[in-house]
Amino acid sequence: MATKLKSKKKIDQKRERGGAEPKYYEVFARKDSHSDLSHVGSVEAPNDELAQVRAWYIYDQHKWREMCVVPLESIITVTEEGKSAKIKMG
Amino acid sequence: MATAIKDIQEDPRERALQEKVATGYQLEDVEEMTERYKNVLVNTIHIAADLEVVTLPTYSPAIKTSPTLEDKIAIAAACQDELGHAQMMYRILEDFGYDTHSFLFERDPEEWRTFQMLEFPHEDYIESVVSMCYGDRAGYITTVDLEENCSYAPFARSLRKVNYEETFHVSHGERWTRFFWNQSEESRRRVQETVDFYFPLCTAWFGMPDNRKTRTDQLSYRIRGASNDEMRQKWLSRVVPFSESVGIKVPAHYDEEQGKYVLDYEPPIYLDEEKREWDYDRQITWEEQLKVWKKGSKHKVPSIARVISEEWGKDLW
Amino acid sequence: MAYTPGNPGTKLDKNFENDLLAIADTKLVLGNWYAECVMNGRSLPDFAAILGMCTANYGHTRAIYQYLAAHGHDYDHLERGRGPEEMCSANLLDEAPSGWEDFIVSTWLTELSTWMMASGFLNHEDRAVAGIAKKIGQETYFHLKYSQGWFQIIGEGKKQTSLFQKAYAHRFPLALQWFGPARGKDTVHDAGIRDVPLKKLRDAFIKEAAGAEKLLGADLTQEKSIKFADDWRGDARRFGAMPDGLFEVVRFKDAELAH
Repeated sequence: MATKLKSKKKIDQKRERGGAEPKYYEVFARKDSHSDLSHVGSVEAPNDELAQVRAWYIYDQHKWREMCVVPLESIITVTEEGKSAKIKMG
Repeated sequence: MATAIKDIQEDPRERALQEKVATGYQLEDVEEMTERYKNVLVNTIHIAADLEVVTLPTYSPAIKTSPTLEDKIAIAAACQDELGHAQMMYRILEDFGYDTHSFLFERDPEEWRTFQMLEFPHEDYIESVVSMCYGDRAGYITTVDLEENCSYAPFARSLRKVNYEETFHVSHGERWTRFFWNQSEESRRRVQETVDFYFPLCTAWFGMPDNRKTRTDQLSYRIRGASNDEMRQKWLSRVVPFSESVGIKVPAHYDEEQGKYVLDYEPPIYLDEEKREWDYDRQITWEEQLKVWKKGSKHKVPSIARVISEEWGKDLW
Repeated sequence: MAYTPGNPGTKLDKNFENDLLAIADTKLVLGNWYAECVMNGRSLPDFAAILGMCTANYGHTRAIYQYLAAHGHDYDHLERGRGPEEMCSANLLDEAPSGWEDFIVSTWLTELSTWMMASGFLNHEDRAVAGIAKKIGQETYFHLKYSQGWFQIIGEGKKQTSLFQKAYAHRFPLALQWFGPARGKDTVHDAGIRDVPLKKLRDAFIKEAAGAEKLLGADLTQEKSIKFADDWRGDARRFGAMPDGLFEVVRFKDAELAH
């Protein structure tokens, strides 16, 4: 890096990102009792606790009635087999 | 980005994709893309994501200088939204092989692609609300265009949340800009001074005028729907009537003859960065303007450097 | 969060007011900690999370100030009329964090201790007070989870674990001190305003704090005997005045724009 930095952050990939490869969680939420549980987005987190909190603060556009996170690795594709993204944004 | 249109037209695969998206077809997968489509799409998301991240060093200093708890909350919450948007955009980029972490923390601040409008850390709360009113409005016009037109469906869908939240920032900005305009003589003076500085920055947000550039891949591949001038016009049609209704003076007006809003100056003009003053009578060339944009304000590198560095102990307080 | 006074106008018990103000001021400083440290965040989603915790704490402070304002206090004075010697924030937050591990330890101990204290008012007879306490609990749930997520990451690093232990040894006594002398008077409980004795809240705090050992995977030293010197201000739950450097961060600027 050409720009000199006094104290650059040193991120430990393995500890802070959950392994050699970053770990993702998919976020699902339900707006109210009349709404379906929908996929609302995705977060990167090294453990379940941070995934829960990060999802809560990033996808806070509604006062969700229900929210859950699912590790991306647990998702089994039906139509998207072999595609570069198992589950899409939005 | 502006490689000759001729080359694409000669490549049947590129042309087929252009024709397909022109009918309103939306892509869902990387596998459906041509290299050229992918490049222009990724480039667009990349810049949008960088712009969301720099709101952190730009807006957050105003948390400390805000006059009340309510105002601190407003700035911090708006910043939280923007960082959430950045996260979603970077997440999309990851499906294209980007590594967010190294992209965010290992990239030289010089290489970040930011726009001048977001390169001045807010000195006070008035600067933040004026920025929300005029600047977030400019950003909103860009992201709404992407949501409505982008041929890559996952990006278009993810912008629903972005635009939903941006409307709150804009209306917060409008409400408080109006409030401070009416609060006292001194606050009115400060609002006008801040608008004087931000107005040309915001018009520049939309880039070069259409007659200065050839049709871009962004439009050919329907990543965006509107041209620079069309979006700038849309922005003017919102902020000029707003400013007039409040009493704020802006260097633009509606021209009856042309049937559109026009600027009262001929961009690009010279900015005295130290004094934060525009010289409306001193025109510069577009080459000079592009150089200024590329270099970034004097705050650009220190601001981004702060995001990728740590400061503790006595450096904090 | 908007405050609807349950019984506005009535004068509050002085000691009860002090407890509320200690929670509010500590959370004001905590909000500022998050604002000052957000750019030290170690990932993009953490920036958003830290700002979320920042706004939540400011919100708690505001709700308490509004409650006090509905009971005879001047809101403007509470928010920006007080000098460093009148602030009632915990000594725990006086000193700036020395690093990420210290930041996690300090913010977590503050979130935990203020929540413990607020939880004592969950059954308060004024629905407004109970409502504020409930809201603090609902939001702090996520803040504590954030800490727990980081305990695990820190615990996987040897150097980081040792920095955490060091920070804990330094900050824990300051957090415990905030609950006051172990055998001190408990006037708010005696008066029936808080249905839980302070001792019980203090013990619960000690137990919860020790619970971090499991996620961290390392031992933590808990200094349980706290010395209270002469300048201990029981009403403010702190020693001395807020340090000038911190006060400069916390104080509200641009007073003429206040509304």
